[in-house]
Amino acid sequence: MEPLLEARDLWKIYPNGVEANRGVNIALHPGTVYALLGENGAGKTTLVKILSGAEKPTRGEVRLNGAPAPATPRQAHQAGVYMVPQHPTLFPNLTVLEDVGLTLRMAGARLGRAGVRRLIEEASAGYGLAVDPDARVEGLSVGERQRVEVLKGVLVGRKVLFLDEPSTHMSPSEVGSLVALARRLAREGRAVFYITHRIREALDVADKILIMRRGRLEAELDRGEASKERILAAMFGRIPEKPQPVATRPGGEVLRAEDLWVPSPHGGWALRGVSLTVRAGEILGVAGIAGNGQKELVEAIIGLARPRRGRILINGVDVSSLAPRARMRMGLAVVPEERLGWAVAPGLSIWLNTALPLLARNGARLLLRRGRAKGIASRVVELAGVRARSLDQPVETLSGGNIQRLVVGRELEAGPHVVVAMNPAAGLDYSGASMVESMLLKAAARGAGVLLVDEDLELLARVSSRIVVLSRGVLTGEFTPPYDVDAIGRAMTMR
Amino acid sequence: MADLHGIVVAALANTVPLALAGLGEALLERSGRVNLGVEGLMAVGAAVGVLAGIHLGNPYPALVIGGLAAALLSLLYVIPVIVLGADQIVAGLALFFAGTALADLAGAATGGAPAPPLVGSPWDPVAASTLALVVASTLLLYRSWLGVEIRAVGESMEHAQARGLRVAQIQGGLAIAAAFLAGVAGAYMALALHNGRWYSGITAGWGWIALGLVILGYWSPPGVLLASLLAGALLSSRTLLAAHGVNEAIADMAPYLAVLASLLVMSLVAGRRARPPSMVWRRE
Amino acid sequence: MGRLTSIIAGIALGLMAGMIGLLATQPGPLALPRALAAVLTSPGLLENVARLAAPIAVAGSGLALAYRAGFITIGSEGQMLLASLASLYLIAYLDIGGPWSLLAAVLVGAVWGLVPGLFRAYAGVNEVLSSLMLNYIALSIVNYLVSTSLREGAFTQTRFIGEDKVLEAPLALGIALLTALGLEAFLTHTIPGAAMQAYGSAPRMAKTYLATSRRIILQAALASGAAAGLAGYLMLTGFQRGFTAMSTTPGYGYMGVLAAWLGLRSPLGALGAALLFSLLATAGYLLQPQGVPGSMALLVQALAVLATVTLLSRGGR
Repeated sequence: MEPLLEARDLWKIYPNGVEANRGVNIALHPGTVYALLGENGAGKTTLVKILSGAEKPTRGEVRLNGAPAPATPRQAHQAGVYMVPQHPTLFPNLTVLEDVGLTLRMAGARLGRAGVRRLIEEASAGYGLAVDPDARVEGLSVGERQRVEVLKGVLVGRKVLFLDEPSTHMSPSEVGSLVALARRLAREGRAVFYITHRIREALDVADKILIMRRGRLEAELDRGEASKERILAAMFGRIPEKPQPVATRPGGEVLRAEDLWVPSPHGGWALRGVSLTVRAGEILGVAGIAGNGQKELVEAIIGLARPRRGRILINGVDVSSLAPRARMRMGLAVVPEERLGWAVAPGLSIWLNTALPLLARNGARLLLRRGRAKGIASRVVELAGVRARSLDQPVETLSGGNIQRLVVGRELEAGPHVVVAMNPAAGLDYSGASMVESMLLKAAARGAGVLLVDEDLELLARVSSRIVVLSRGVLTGEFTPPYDVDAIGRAMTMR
Repeated sequence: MADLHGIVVAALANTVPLALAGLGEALLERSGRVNLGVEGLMAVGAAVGVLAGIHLGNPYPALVIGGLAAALLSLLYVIPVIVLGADQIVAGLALFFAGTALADLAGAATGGAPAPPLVGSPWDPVAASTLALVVASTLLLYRSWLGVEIRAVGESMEHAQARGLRVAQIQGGLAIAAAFLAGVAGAYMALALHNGRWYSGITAGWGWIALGLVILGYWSPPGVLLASLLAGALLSSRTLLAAHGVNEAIADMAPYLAVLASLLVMSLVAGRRARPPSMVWRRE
Repeated sequence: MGRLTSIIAGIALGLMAGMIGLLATQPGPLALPRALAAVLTSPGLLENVARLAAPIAVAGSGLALAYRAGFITIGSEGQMLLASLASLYLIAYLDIGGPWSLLAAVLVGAVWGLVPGLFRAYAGVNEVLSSLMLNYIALSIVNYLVSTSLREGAFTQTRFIGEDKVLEAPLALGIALLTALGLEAFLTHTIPGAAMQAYGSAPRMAKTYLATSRRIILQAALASGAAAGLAGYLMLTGFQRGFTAMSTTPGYGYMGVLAAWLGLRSPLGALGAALLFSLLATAGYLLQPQGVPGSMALLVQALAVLATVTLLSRGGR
């Protein structure tokens, strides 16, 4: 049978020399669900971007129905090819109807508001995707936004539908219905291409499992022949060792949050009376779907947001009224969610980005002695294994993994009592992510209390001494090892 | 009270240029761009408008020509910023200075001679068109798909680009349209408010006031109109204040002080909670 | 394109635009290079260039610092005016000269400069607009004082400082150079300076690890205001000497804004740009009797800045 979408010998080499795709051949047939597996950095997203017309390959070609494939997202939409992005890219200042209408019109539909509304309502009822067309996007949770994106995929991706890590912001039960939807869409004659790094999900959804490693398609397994072991072997080139559970003997309490209430920028409360404690030597994991108060919790603890009520204690001292820098001088370290712009300042050199926060923490107020600062920076760079040509190069010229090494190394350099980290391994490749994990474990072993706020439940389960779940601004459960991942998943959607 | 009537008429006449300039800038800012050069564009509109008025003997085409001159000048903003990606703040400031200088060059050519003035009355065609423009741009922004596109581009250029929206065309078109309106506003100031005469510094910071009115009007056309009415009234109170023995220099200060104070009040009341509907003035 | 090439090409484009503009005038395009040559070969005119450059450079240096911190004030114009008036009051009315009149200018400039900083730090008011409104308010204050308490004689004008109080050109330029060097050192060799740069590029990073927003914004507002105050002193004692009622501000503070951008937000760069600007302005004065409007110099400056930042943004890609 003729494939619907076919790619031959795709290469993608980025200007910085990264070879994201190295000779990929792929053929998608209608009526089939494909799952693309691979660890972070394997080249999955690049491949999907090329297949869906969002990026051009350095070499090779893509054909749709035997003709050259669309070269822009707009052409792709017109041809019935749609990609649901990992992070919803809806416009917060529009209503759902306006946003969906914009996409439909870009895809060539000549519709008025009434027409768009009818299509939304039909698809919403027909596929069990409950969305309110008149809701403003900024009032929707990340999960609801993802649902709108999937709805657009249903409407626009009539031939080929790509779903890029669609379960990132979903609870386990939501993932279940998404899997069912993907299978149904394929039965109706579409090619569905489901990208994930979770093996269980791939086994559930796919007719065919494709495994990517280091830019190549490593294996193609039919539903029947796929097993967890074969997949792992293809993903990592070997079967990775099972992570060791953490053995810690927690000491005294180093961080305490009492009854935190933080208003949400969209009205209402982002945090509604959250209390938690972290003891020396333990890692407290905070699980939850993005947008349930995680960011506000982190901001309140580091001092960027003022809670309306409640207080925060570091080593028993109330720091609620102190600025972030003063809290850091009391032993707080922060590994923020965004690297460029929050953890480090682009445009400034590696040495400034490394030494400045450490000097500020040590109480340096006026003179910046270059020799001393560069000495501090070179020590951190060496200890954290950052690969840099020179300390003078702007920090943004480092790769994401190297920046994160630098940030974690810098934050642990001061010998902190409390480490607050948010999604520290997100977007890193396997070696980068495991380095971050081991550095956090080492910090705990040295006696720091770590508060790890992360969307990746598997990572949390690997490293946490305890896990609490944050849902709609409230802590909905506390778990200890061995973790019952399903129960944690249920707590994530509790009200 | 003839005096009061005079003040009301003056207030409405003052409102016209402020609303025109503010309306264009509000639409532009809704698409995610800010042009700080409004004052320079108005100055060029004023100078060229007077020149054209002298040559044509009719103020109405002169208004249009003043607007076209400013639209042409705005290419100094559109090409560097929207086509080539230069910083919009610096480009806007440079446009302000370039416009001020060019206006002096063009204005010097009038030799102080007056153009036939436009008799400012609230019922003149320009005031009526201003009102019509407010209605039209409200409908455009909130009722048309183009308006949805403008608002989407203003929210995130990156995502709009990824969706295939014509970001540069939308922003460039609005920047040129806004400049045209600013030019008409400047020409109106000279032809209607200053009896057809041009002098250096004629726009007196009204372009900057208009930029403030965009914020006070919360980036919505009716809001900008309302803010312009208030500012227009304040500006016309100058004569009233002077008549009551207030020093002229102090009376001059009143509108700027009022805009400053209302920006402060507005930011204190709304700024913390609500975010601007366009990314322009958003900040960490 | 590299930084230096961009600046040189930008200036060249600005000059070319100026020459094209001169096509429309009687003396023709070659009048510009002729006038520039005349200025460069006349020691008396070069002294004028230095006197003019000093305040523009000092204001520009302070603005460069503020812009690095992401505080886009254009209030130097009003700050210079009020500071200038304060020195005038001390020198010509109270007969207190020298360092005290300088200090008064710095103080007044800093206070007026602090206002948009306070507005931004405590209420989030955009400083571009607030500082501009404050320029017009400063103009009104000066006009008010000129027409009332400081009025001298039959016309609405103040006393003027005596010829003997006028600052020597080399001294003025020396003060400008010292200010630029000092601010440059502050940016690169102190922790608050580095924190300002970090805040300008990544406010969230600076807020988390270095200092509060308020502290950085207020420091930037204060520093640029104080510099503009000093610039006001240099303006008064360099060439202004007194005030009459004005319909617009003199514009040297605005030139400082352009100098800061052309100097790529570096204090020393602003000094270089200020020298170029005053060279252009002086050449412009030479051409005025030949029917070339004085605004020609401002046009060339604005276009040079526009061309430079455009070329740089292309090079950065």
